[in-house]
Amino acid sequence: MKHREARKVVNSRQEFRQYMPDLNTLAYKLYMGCFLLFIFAPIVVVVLYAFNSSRYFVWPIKGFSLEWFRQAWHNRLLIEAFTNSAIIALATTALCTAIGTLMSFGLVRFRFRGRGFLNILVLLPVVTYGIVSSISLLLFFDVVHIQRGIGATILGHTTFLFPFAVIIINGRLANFDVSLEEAAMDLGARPVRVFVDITLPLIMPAIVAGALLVFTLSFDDFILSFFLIGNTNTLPVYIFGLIRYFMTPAVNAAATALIGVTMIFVVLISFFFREIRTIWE
Amino acid sequence: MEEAIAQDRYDVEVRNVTHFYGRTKVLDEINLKVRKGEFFSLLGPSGAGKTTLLRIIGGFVFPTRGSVYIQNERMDHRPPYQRNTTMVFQHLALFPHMNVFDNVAYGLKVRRRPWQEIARRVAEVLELVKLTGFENRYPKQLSGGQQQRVALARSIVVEPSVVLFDEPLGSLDLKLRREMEVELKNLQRVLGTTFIYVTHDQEEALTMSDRIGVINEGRLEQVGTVEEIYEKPRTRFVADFIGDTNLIEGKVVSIQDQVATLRAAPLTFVAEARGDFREGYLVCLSVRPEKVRLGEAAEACPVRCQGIVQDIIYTGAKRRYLVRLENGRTLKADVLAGEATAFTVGDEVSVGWQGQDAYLLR
Amino acid sequence: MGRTPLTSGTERAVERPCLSKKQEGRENYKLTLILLPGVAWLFFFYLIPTLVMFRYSLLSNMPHIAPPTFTLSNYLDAFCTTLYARVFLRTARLSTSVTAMLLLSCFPLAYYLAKKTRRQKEILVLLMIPFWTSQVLRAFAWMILLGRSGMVNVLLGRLYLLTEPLRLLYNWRAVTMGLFYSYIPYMILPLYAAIGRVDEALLEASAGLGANRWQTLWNVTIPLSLPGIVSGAALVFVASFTDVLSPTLLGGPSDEMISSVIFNTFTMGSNWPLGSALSFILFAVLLLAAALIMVISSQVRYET
Repeated sequence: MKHREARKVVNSRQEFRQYMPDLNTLAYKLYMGCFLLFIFAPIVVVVLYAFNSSRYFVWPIKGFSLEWFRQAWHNRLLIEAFTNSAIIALATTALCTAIGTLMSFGLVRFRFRGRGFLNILVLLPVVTYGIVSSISLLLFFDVVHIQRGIGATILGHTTFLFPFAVIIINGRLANFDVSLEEAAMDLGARPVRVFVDITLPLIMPAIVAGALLVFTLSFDDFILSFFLIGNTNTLPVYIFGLIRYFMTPAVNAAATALIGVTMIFVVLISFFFREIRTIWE
Repeated sequence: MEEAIAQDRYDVEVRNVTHFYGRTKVLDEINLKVRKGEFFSLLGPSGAGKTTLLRIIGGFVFPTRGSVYIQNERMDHRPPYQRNTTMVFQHLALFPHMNVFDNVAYGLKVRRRPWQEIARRVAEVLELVKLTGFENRYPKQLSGGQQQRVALARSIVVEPSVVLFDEPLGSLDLKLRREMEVELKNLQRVLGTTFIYVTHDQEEALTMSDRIGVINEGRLEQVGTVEEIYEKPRTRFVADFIGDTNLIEGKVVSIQDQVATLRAAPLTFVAEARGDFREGYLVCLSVRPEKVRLGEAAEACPVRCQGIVQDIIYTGAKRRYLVRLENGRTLKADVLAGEATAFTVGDEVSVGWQGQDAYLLR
Repeated sequence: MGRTPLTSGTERAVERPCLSKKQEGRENYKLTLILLPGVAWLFFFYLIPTLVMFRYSLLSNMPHIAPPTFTLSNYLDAFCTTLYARVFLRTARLSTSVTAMLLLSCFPLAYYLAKKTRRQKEILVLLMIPFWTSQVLRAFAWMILLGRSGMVNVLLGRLYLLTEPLRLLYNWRAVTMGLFYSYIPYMILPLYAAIGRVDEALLEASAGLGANRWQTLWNVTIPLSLPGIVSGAALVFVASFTDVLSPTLLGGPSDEMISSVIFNTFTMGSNWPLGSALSFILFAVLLLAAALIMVISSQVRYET
């Protein structure tokens, strides 16, 4: 008993603080465990069922099979949807990075009347992202006779995702030590050279983090894509269609593909984690 | 002809520079000439405007009014990359994504020097600042003192006519700071480049400089050599800011031949009056504590009065007596540790000083 | 003072170069050029579409049927028919309950994350992994889990707790679950940030004054993390209010939320003007909520 208590004190030296609830109790650990399970269970289930040999979603899984993946691989619509998602995400990322970086510089480095207003305006798309925005874009493209499709989707995604890039780059830019640029100028570098040699390399992590975030959000987007993609599909939209009208574990295979792509980006993003955290603060 | 020769003596000339930040006047009619090859310090309390002035000379700020000449060329509206000055910043501003070599070489790279020349000059200057062998380290791997040297090396490798320093030693601890001061002074002598050094630490300025410019609230109070500033302050602020002094306020009763009689009721003092003083002016008498004599020594002085010892403060090298005079003012008198005095708190004592040790200030 | 470039990213007061008229003009030109893409984009693809939607909501019928006239009838329908009022209320009720549930269940988790000093970042990233997937998948996952022969039912059956499978899917419970699951990060992250900002010295002071752990928690930690609580709650509320997938995939025909009503109007229905009106109302609600969040969080800030 003594030994266990002693070990508990040593192990939880950092956690054993008198002024707050003890984080090391069994109850807490149980709660955390359940929560983690709860969070991961759905996704795990989706992937699991993709390997199900039975057509129906019964539990337990009847057998292990890669049949659905084989079907998915030969599914032209699925491949097309996947490709569309990728193209749209890449184009959106490029646009968002460009516009976002410029916007961020304008907001952080200059002082002008209406800067506060513009700061809020930039955040509005993030707030109203959802069905409302999709509808407004749908009607807008209708009125100006822009055909629905990949192009329209790219335009839509960019509108609602570039503020994310702005926020992330803002965070880095606001803390940027301007005397570094002054030092470079002082040593003889003209403004363009200063930007290329000093500014750009130092804000690159934020730019990359923003780009990764935008790519993921664009790839995963459903609601904008649904209304703007017209006759073709993006992967989430295709999956939605499958769910609605044709439920087999083939859906899971497609879903697993989607998860796979996302996971790659999560791993990448976790390297740039610090930049992303600034969104929430 | 003489005028032309005189012009060549100055590397930096500041003419009637007045600068506003918004509605606030930050610099007021600054006129300054810095000689070629001298170590010039701009000394003043925080917020006095010295950094602003430095940045105006460096080209990071364009003055609202007035002009700046660097080596006789008008430069006040030229950006920093068109001036032959370099700056060592307060927080050094070393490029974190470049190693020591690249940091130091940056100015030369921008000037498109051939790489052999760059390599040679960087090696030379690193040796000068005693950082040979550190080429591949990154700024965050260096100590404070080493970072200082890199910043210094970076600024001097491009061979500017003027190097500007914005309180660079502030973040170092005292011992290191004193060491760096000596090194900087020696370096300046070796290079012969004009240094303009901004600081609020008077000991720093007094140690390193050839001449000092004292700035307070945007005004240049006095410019002179170290001795001039210390021994012959021209304004009350300079007397008070540099070293320690006693200030006795009073009114000029009469003035004759640069000697004024001052009444600080109920006492009367006589003092040298350099400058424009007339009867009736409210002035300040300044006398340094080490010039104030006590007891017997005071009896031998032409200027004398009586007081009571309030307190004695021992500070190792000397003892400071706080003596309360008849007019209510307290004088500080410093006595070296070696000298013996028999006074204790509460004693009546004579205080006095030589006429030339006290002077009037506005 | 016009547009002056800052030599500092922050508001360092001392250094502001005063430029000649010509140079100030050049800086203005630079600024306009830099801001133009973003501002123009927002104008054309955000502001104008919103106005288009507003105009559409004032139409009496779909344009391709007959020339429409302007009318407020759509808004009247939206506000005065019991149908839509009920949908709004249902949506509000669901959102509120989801917000409350999330607040209560996520607070201990956020607390743990904020106070744990080792491996904070890793655990956070780990927790966020499932939420990087598309919303579609998350709703789909719950469809699988809650189905008649889904995992939950089977598990409970195996444990002999049920005689026949529960109707878990296609009702408001499933929708709540879907919403709850989807917006966990929206609640955790602001809470985590806010709790983390509470100065531990204050907690120690509280303990020093004789409060036990729970009193400290209730009287010090929670009030001081109020900005985070408000942000998180507002975010979750707004997000679940406009969520489309959960009600569409997990809800039954009588569980429509306002967003799924709008969704159906534009996919299956034909009364686009009405849909636009509902959409615009939703937009106004969102803006109001956002404004409220900003006001409250700036008021409730305890600066030390």
